[in-house]
Amino acid sequence: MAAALLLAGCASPSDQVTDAIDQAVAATATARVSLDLDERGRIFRTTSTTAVEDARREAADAARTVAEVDATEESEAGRRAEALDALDEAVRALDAAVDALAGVGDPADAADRVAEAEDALRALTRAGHP
Amino acid sequence: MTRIFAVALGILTAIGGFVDIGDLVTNAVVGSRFGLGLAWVVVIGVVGICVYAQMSGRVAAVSGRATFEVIRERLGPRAGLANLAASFLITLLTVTAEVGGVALALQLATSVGPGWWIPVAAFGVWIVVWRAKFSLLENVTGLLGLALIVFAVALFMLSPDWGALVGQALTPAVPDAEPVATYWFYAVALFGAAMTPYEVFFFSSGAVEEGWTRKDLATSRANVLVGFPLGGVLSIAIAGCAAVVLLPQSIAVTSLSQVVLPVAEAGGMLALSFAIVGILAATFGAALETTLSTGYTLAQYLGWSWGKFRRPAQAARFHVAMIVVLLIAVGILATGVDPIAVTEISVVFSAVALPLTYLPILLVANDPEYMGEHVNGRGMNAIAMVYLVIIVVAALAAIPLLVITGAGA
Repeated sequence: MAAALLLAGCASPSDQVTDAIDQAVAATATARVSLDLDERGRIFRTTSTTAVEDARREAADAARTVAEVDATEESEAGRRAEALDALDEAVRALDAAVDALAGVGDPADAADRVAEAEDALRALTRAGHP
Repeated sequence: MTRIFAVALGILTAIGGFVDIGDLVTNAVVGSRFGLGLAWVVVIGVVGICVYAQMSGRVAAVSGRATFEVIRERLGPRAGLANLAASFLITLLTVTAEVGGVALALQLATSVGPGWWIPVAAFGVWIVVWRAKFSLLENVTGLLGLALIVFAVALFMLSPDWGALVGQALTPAVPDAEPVATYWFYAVALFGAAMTPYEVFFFSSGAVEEGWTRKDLATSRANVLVGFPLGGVLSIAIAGCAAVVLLPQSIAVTSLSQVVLPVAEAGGMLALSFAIVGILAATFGAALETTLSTGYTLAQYLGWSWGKFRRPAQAARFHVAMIVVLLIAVGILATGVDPIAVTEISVVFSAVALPLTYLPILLVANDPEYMGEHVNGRGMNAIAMVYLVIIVVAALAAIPLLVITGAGA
């Protein structure tokens, strides 16, 4: 396990950023699906809340990973900055989604914000995979 | 009539009890990343567990003793100790994963964090192990676990492109976005999840608990050969649901809350209720089985009095060992480690321990001193040898693949 973590830590800065963006895409997509199911009354509020909280944790984890990446080239630093902006917005959108499910704020607005954050992250994914 | 009922009940509990947190998580992860491209591993794993579980059940029914007792006597204390160390440590890790799984399932129903549920889950496991009759704990959790059939129902309700799904299953290929090593890492993990060592020890010790004799061999075969494959179908249905709903949206499963989203999409709250009950029953049942298995393996190796058929006071060390195991599991989870990560690691290390678990069973099942006329036939030995090769390859590949892929990242 330690060796696995060591090896994961040896991934290139570019790969680490790409992986973190993929992780955040999965998290925001999970939250979007959960909020949609919640709006249509197809999921218990307890379950959708758990799913969105799990998604927020994943996105925050991804943001932390990118924040700790040491860029070795100018282009890597630029991509890291773009990723951090998108990830910070994703975490804020997921915060809003958790709040909305708890009755603070409008769930529809939160869902829109999560969808926008997901789109921004997906755009970065495409940019990272020419 | 009573016999037919016993066979039917055995089969139903084998189906409901087949899936545990390892199967749930690994199949959902694989479905969300590879579609049904690794369904072939589930098929191989199910055939393997059928081969060795019915072998260990036969040893217990014919000799009247659990597999581990016979292994120590037949192979001596040193080989027995290697077997004990491998299976006990893996089962301890699996207990931890199952208790965490119970807590995560309760979180889905309440949204209260798993940290609050872990002590409750462990206490629940202990009280049932302490108080409930063996047949009751096995049958109730097995039958409630049948609620997981909702994953198969949900797969039909999602109206997937069956041609595409069958195509993924029959012509497996590594997706462009995934490295080849990661594909094989999850193949080993799925194999480890299907052939988890505790299953055979629980099966053979359960045979002694229920007083099986040679007359029960047919029932034992029916339970294994019908129940386990149908349990395997449930595993594939879980992967199928993830493949249809999560994979197209790039949602790689990392939490239990994602596993149930396809069920909610297909059948709304009613289906979701069944899924949560099924997951709770499957993880709680497996927590009971793994906890008992740690007690069985230790007690059978060390020659302690053991079994639920005895009063706890007559098998005190057996019960104390299980309490200590549960406390260790709670201690591990109290560090804040993600139960899903524990599950993923436990299924990989299960694969590593497989040769030490299954080779002794094969040796004992071929010993006429214990088995008399019920030793393995040529056909069974041929299949078992093929599986032994697969098991050794999986065991050797597990750790390198874990390192190369960064635990499947």
